[in-house]
Amino acid sequence: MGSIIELKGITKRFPGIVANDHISISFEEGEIHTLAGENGAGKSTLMNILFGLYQPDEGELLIRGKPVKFSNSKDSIRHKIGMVHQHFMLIPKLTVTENIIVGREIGTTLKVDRKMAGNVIRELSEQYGLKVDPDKKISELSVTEQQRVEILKVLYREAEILIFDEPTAVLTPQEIDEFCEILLKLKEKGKTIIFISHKLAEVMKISDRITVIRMGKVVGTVEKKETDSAGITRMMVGRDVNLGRRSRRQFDNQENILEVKDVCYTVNKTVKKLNHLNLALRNGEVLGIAGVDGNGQEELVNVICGKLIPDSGSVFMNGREITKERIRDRKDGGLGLIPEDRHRDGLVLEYSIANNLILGLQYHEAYARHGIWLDFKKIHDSATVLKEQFDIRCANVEAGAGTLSGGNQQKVVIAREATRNPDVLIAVQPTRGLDVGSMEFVQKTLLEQRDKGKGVLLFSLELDEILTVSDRIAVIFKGEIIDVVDANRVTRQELGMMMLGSQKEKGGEIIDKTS
Amino acid sequence: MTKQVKTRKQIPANFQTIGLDFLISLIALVLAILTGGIIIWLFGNDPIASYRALIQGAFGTPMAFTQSVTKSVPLLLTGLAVALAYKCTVFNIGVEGQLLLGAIAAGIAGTLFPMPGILNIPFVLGISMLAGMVWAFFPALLKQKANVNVVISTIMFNYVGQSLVQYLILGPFKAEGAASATNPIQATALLPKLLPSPYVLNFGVVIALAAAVAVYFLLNRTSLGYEMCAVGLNKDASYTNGINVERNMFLALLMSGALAGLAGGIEVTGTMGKVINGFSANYGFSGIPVALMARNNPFAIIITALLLGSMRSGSLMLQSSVGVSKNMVDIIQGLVIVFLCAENVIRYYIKKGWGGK
Repeated sequence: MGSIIELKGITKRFPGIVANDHISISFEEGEIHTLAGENGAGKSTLMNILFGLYQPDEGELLIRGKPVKFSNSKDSIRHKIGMVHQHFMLIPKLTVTENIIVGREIGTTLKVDRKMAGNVIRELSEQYGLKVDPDKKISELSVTEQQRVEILKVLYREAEILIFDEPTAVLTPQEIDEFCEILLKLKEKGKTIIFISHKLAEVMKISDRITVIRMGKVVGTVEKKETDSAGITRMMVGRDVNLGRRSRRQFDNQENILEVKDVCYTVNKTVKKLNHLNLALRNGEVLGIAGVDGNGQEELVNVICGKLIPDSGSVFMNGREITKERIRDRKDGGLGLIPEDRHRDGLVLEYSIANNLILGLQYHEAYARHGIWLDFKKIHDSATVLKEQFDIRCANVEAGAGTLSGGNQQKVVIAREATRNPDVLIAVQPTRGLDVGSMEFVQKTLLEQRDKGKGVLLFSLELDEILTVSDRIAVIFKGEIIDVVDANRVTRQELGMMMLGSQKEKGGEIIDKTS
Repeated sequence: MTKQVKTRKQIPANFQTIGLDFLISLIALVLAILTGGIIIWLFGNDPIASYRALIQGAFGTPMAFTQSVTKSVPLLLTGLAVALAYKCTVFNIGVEGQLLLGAIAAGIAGTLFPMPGILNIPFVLGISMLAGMVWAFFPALLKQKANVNVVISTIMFNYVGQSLVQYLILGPFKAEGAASATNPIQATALLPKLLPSPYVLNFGVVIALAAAVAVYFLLNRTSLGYEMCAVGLNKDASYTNGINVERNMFLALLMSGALAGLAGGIEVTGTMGKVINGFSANYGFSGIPVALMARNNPFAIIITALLLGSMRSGSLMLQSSVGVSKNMVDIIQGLVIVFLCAENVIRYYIKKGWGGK
């Protein structure tokens, strides 16, 4: 097997930053080669260069030993390179077939032969075990299926080299397993795969070789057999990362600072999303909410943060009933929220970082004189302090929030919620899509809040995160908290069983249902 | 080469966007003028002579210039009205109706109580703003209570407003002996002239410019403006962070209505001195291209309002000296919108052009 693509000294500069600094990598035919690195390390830039979307400032690109120059993606497609983007580029109203053949229609100039195209795609789909119905509309497909359509699109263009830009960021753990199968199948059929990811589990599972990039430079390329997750992490972050349990401050006289009492919420009069749910969060603890997605977590978050008024039951914060309070009053009353979807609910991407850091605080005296006139000097200064304190990596705080990487965007959200100094901090999937470095930072911040004597309610689908960060774990099942256990005295397996509805027999306390 | 690249990179990002936006608006305008020229040529006239007449009519004499500025005043205010609402993603198409209501309210209030000018003018203009606000209040209420689409309800309220105002002018408030106008308002309610006759400039231009500054400050310097723009950019994030989305949209529409009403009030107190049936030459609707071209930037609206205002003012000369209908400027105005809507195409070619350099 020879080298199919070779990058030699690729350099790409953007205003204020060198995204790729003399990067040299050689990809061999028929391998799964992973590019690992933290968010913002320069992986995506490099792949966009390889795909012809960016032109390098310096350096050379060789395909099968021949130097080539791509000025747009058409050139790279001609060299049989295909890219599956992180954000899908599909037209929801069109069918799978139509989406795939766009730009390469089969048939005469006047009429597209949809039937023939459909057959070609069905054949391809079967060949690679992708199970996609070519006649369905994109809007009817799930995220995984849409991703497969993207893969089909690339295969339809006869790509031999497939680039996947963080394909698993949008998938659930089960879907990731299936996705890995697909990659292995593609490799079996002789395709070369360049896989960009920072999720170590899957990287270690499927890669042949791994190249780590840090701050625009290649740290090294290693054979998977010769390394382990810890080794890769060290290369990515440049130091040892501690995601395990840490020593915690002990609290006496813990009190309930957030209580959810007997809350019910029904959708469309039939679907019981919350079923007499009881929950109590104490100060100085992280209470993890474990559960399979869709068991009422979203509704519970909304009931607490004020987006949803429950049909019955009540919510208390610091002993005060807030069941029907406005979101603004709850937040001013000591509630912090790190929402699940930071793009949709957390940030105004078009606003600057500094402006995002006062979202929801814009009328506070600290940022606005008499609550009316915004004080931009104070806003800027406070943002600059937070930038340092929360390690938000950006050229300056007046840059748009949309220009930040995912990890740094999350840091903006967390910094903002932390400045409220909330008594109760709700974190919903706070580390989703983040690299290990940012993940560690986020978890550390949550624990700092805990050690300050605040209560943290952590919603996460990642069992490992729940287990390492929480003090107690509440299991939610079909809209009910079926058990609350001590995080130190439960195993991953036991928790997994409980999430499927089996009550726990040993260890931990049973929640007092009479209260 | 590297040095050149560096200097360009040091320009702050937001200046670059503003520059690009300006360029796009300029290109759209040039394309509209070119296309308009072709249309003039197709109808057998000389495009160059026509445009020369248009410019002559708008800026040829000091007097023409003051006329152009005066014609721009209502456009400036209606442009601001459209922009303010749009910043909060409220598409207020009802500016025309709100302007008419503001005008008739000013026309009536101006005849009511004798008081000194220093009180009468603010009183009359205040009433006109209130009337515009009331006409925006109903669609805002319908939106909030019944989720009625604001675009549709404001369009419908234009028709209701037009008919209502027409009825008031020709019915209960019709002046004795006049064909189709109300009684003249009191002299104390008339806006002072800024220049001696025959120039036509009145104090309205100062009020309109002040309104532009006020809108700028509201949007960029206050927490309310911060909220309204945040709602305009991302409703979900605004809501999640405790901003009352509906209230902000409600307020944006009311303030927009007030600006539109003020435009009507100034037309009455500054230019006409009474309300003449059918006086508004679609000032309300023209606020849309004014705001669109300016990308809702209050200061840019001053320029685009002046541009479209002087085109209207020059169109009479166009008609009398070259024989091209004065409605030609409406065609150009329409073309500007068409080309502005093709923004992405223009943007694509600009980027491509830059990449090639």
